[in-house]
Amino acid sequence: MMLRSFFSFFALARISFKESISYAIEVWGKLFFMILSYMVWYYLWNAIYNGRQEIAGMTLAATLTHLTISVFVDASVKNGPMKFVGEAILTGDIGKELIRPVSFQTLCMAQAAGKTVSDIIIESFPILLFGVFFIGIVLPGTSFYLPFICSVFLAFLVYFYIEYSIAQAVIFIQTYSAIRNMFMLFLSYTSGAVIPFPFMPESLRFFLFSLPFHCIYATPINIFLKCKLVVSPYAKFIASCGIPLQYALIVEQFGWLVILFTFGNILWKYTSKKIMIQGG
Amino acid sequence: MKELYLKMKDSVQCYLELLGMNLKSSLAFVADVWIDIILFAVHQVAGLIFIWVIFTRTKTIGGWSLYEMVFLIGIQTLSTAFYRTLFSGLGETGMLVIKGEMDQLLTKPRHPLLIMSTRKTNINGLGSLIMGAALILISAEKLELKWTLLLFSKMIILVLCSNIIMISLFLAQGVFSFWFVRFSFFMDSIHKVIEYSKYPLKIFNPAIRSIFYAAIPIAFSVYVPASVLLGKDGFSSVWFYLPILVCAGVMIFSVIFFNYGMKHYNGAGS
Repeated sequence: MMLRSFFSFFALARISFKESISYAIEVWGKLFFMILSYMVWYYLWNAIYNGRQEIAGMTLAATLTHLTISVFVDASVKNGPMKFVGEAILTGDIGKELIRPVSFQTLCMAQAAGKTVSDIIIESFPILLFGVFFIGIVLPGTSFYLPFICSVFLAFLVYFYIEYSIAQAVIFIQTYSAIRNMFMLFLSYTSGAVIPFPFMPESLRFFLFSLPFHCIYATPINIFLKCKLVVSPYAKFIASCGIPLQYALIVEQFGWLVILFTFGNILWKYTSKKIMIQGG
Repeated sequence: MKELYLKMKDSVQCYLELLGMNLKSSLAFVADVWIDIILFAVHQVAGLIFIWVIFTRTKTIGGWSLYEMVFLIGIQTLSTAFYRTLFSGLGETGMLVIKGEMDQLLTKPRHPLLIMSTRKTNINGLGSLIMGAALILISAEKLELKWTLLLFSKMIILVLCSNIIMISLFLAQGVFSFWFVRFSFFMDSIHKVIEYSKYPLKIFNPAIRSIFYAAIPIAFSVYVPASVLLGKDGFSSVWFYLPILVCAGVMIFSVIFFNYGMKHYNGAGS
């Protein structure tokens, strides 16, 4: 049974992957605008630093590395199930999806995974290479690569389960685009994706560390930066038990993942009973 | 002449009627409308918070102070007001092509541009007007800008041109879908470029500036008008006429480009 689900997952993810790379012009266009976007931020940070050695304890090199990894992580995690779930509910296709021989959650995950793999190939790695060769970003030591990869993977899952939970609201309010846009916007400013956490005032930082969003961007970025940025009190507590900080950050991410996974599934048990399909 | 006038009058009447119908149908989704309004407010506040956080660490960005940046953001917010309120249907050409709804639209006895323009109405676009005006007034007060009739008229003309440039850009971007079918990333990219237009363009290198000035001439919609009004970055009052010329050029180009694209439209293949 498990094996069948596993194969189904890969088959569905492969279809999703193929679908997302089927239009060459879109692939190249995405890459072009990705680099444009990256360069805009590069020049903006240069203008903000304006020759200064460091701001808020971060050097320009560290901020540019933060920017590069933020773009890398963004491309690696952002394919949540909101659009898929939202459209399935609004068009009534959810009825068709629910009778498939795989669970709805597996289906959503496979869709997201397929798109993510294509985005990692089309966007994440080119940006990382661009950052390394043209911007001269600071690479961490070998001891940080494995925790970084684990952290990006966990960030994908944390993002997935947050969107999966929020997407279920579509069953009740019959709209998803506005919720999705609001969530994306909220996330970009609360996760450390746009503004590095050291730039934020202490009180705001404290509040944001009590939410799971920092696990999506700030945590992998911090690991890549050899844990030189501020960390949440939870990660500090875990690290005080003798665990290296990079692994303490992963444990914190994992903790949030367990909470969000449990919450998303309990919510689905309730909301899936409320689904009404027009005419059927 | 009279025939042209009657035709124009008829089109305007049709436009208003379709717009009204669309407004009614969009109001049926009350949650969507409210979330959209809240989203817009959150978006504006978030953008301002970012600028505020940055300015707690620095005094200027590219020689622009906090309130000069707020003025720039005000112009940017105003520049999308008409598009958001009245013409956001134009931005959905790509989706129409992908879903095969373009064919259905072509069977209607009106020019596709008219029908497309009225497909979507956003009441929250009015929020852009209010928010943009508020940001401009607040920043002008802090910058001790003297509001003369001339300056006010210049601002109205420039904001109108900004809006026309934005609408034309959204119209033109959709035309690519007639050839490439799935081209929706371009729409998202245009939104990103608009977002970046709230920074002084002189901080970027020439290659990026040329994209903002020539390829996607958003500079004439936000940065140039704001610079002319504030007299920043060497933009004297002579530059006032440039956004107007660009506006006329972009508008004519996008309509011709749309009509040309329509001739090459083959459907989505199904």
